[in-house]
Amino acid sequence: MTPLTPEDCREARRQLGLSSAAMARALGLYDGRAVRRFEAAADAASARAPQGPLAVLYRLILAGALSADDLAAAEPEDHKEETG
Amino acid sequence: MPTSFSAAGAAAHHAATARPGEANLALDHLETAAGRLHGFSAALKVFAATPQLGAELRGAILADSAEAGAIAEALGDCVQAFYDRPPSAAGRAWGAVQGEAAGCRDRLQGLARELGDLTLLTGKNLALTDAVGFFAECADDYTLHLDGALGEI
Repeated sequence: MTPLTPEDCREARRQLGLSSAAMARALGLYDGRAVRRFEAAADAASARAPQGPLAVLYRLILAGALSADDLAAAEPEDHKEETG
Repeated sequence: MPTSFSAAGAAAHHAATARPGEANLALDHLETAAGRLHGFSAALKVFAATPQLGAELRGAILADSAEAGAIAEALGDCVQAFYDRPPSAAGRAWGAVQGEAAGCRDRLQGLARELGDLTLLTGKNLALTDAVGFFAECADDYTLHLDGALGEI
């Protein structure tokens, strides 16, 4: 599987119309920093491509198989309460 | 040391004599594995929201998400129990970590196999087959990492 590029990651979030924080919540990540690292230019010191299960989810989003509504449906209840 | 030292006997001997530095390294690996499994469980749950999944496949993926979460909890709990032990119980607690981690590795192996089998439920939807297959590979990778961590114990 070829690694996802920062542009892939930006495009996935653009398709969903989410902020980096909302994208992080939807993917079960701690906060938006991980999402921003995925989207950073490949030569930036903090740049990191999504790996493993996250890469699978990014590819499904890019393929149009997962929408923002689908992701919201999977978000844990306590997470929704925390973030309003 | 007897020449017919069994593998189980060797493990028990090692458990009783594990040095703190050695233990910390292995525990770090187990904690990392627990963290990754929590993320894996969350990703499977998000994946289960894919509309193209049939009810049977969605149910199976959600069950696997719960199992991955339970394995992560079990790993995290046994590591925590080791840190919380009285100093005099180091050998016994170390043996428990070994046993629990080996059990988690076996459960994870089963999970990887089950995810592999689920690709058959995706029918002709290649995107879903690929996705489930990649998740199965991820579970397989975690099994190997856990195996590696066990090798250091």
